[in-house]
Amino acid sequence: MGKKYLSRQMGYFIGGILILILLPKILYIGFFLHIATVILIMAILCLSLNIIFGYTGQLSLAHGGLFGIGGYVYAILSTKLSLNFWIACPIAAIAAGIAGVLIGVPSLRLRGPFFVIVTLGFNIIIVAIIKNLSKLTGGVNGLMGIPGPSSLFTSLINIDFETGFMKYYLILFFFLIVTFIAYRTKKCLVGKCFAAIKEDEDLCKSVGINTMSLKMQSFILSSILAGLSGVLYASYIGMMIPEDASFHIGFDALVYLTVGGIGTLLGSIVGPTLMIILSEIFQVVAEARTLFNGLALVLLIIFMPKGIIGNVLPLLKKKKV
Amino acid sequence: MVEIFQQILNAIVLGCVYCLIASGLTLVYGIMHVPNFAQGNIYMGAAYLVFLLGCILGFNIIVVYLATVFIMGLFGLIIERCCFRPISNTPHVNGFVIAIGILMVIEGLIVILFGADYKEVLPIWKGKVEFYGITISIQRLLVIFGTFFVMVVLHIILKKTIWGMSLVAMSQNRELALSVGINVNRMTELAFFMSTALAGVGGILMAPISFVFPAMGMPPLLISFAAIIFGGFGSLSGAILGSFIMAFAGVFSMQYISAIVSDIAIFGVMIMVLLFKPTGIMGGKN
Repeated sequence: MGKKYLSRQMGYFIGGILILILLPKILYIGFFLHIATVILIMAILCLSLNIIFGYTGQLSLAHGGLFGIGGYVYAILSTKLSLNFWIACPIAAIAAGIAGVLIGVPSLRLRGPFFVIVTLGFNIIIVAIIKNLSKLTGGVNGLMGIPGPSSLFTSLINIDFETGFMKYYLILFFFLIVTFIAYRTKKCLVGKCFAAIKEDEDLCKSVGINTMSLKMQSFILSSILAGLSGVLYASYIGMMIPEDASFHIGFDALVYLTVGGIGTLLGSIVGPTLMIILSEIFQVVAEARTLFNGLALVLLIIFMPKGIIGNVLPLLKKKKV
Repeated sequence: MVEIFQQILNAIVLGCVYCLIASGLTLVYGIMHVPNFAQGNIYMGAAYLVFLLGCILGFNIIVVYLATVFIMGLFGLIIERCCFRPISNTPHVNGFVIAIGILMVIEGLIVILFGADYKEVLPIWKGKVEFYGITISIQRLLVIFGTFFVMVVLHIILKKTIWGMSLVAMSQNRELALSVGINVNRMTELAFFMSTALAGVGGILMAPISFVFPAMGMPPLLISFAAIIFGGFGSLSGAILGSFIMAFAGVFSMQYISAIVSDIAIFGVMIMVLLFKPTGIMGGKN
């Protein structure tokens, strides 16, 4: 039974990857490909938020800022120092991780509402710093003309990252890596400790689990992945403005995660996909997007707190039986 | 010397606004143990309501003020009934998430209805008072006296009336309050009504002084949180003290150091307090 289930799951998994790989061949129009790329970037951010919020149960509102730090560090390294993407990208992700350490050390000692408030405060500080370091970050105007990865020309491979297709594949590559990391994190022992902390932190402490260190690990991993999504965003869009680091990005990620299902791997992929496609179908203008997302968040928390994966899928399965 | 006094006055005016927002936050936190992230945007919504009723529709100013406070209070009732009560038995974190949802809904509505640009609400009394070289506009004096009046009324309600005492009892022990026959749901409604009405008063008083724009609610919200944490969550006197200290810290560091230091100073104080005395300056046991 278990083995059969596993193979079925593997089937879905391979099918999903094939669809994602073949997607650019189906979506001929560039705009659809753009939407698909944005969805993948948001999905990486959701997966990273899912690690700290979904797995470990600590609602961080600093993810907009960490996203912005990743993007800005990459932007500065690539425009001012003209570093290669493959060097600048890890540096920027690690910079976001270091920011995660700085935020995590004071704030992870706190619980419940205090952690939420302090992380929101840190996000405000990050935006204030970005706006004030105008020599480095361009201040309110932001940074323009951020290069993507330069083309790879060797005797074996010849990849030109300038086209929309290759940009999509590049981000898909990172998306698959992040999905794998998130999947392994949930399955391994550390991930089980995260789940235990989410259930009852005091109990964890009493059986000798170092909760502070584990929460720290979770937050650092989450920060690095959030920074990575920021890097991909900056290299894809080509510009960073202070609004790209604002807490609204983190709020959006929270909405997408809630729609998909908090704590589920699939949910953090389904959520952004559904919400971004819906807002494109209904032609939600940029001003109305906050209202749209906010309404979705309120209604979902009231009627389907486990999101689509948690509440809708079991219903479908029951109907089949 | 005059400059310092001028800054002190500015700090007092700002502190009054933080005080109104923070006391509402602390009321709701005491009852529900949920930080109501929407409070800052309710303050912003009240300022927009004053703009709509007073500047666009042109009602009498007394009518505008009373209507705004009442509408904001009703809004609190609605969010309690429609959003917070249905999830009161679910995990705690849902309360935080739904508060963020309400914050986004209010902000989205305001941006759609009024646009993202700055609006100006004209003050009712335009005069200024000079006092030993310190000038203060009458509108600012109104903020100080209005806040003082509201705080006195709030204190009387909490300490002398049966409703207020029930609220205090509920914040101390919810189950015990339920067992002695306090209508817990009604009291939660009352707490929300008072909390949002207080934020509404803040919005009314501040609208003519500062510009009215969609993001105006966020800085006071976070500073009020910092103030409550400083004073101890759930303690009204702590919230008032914390508000004024935060306002003074903010105004003086902005004036004499720089704007960015002021942001960092406020949250720095908050984080220090949380690390070394998590229950706050005035708070008792956790």
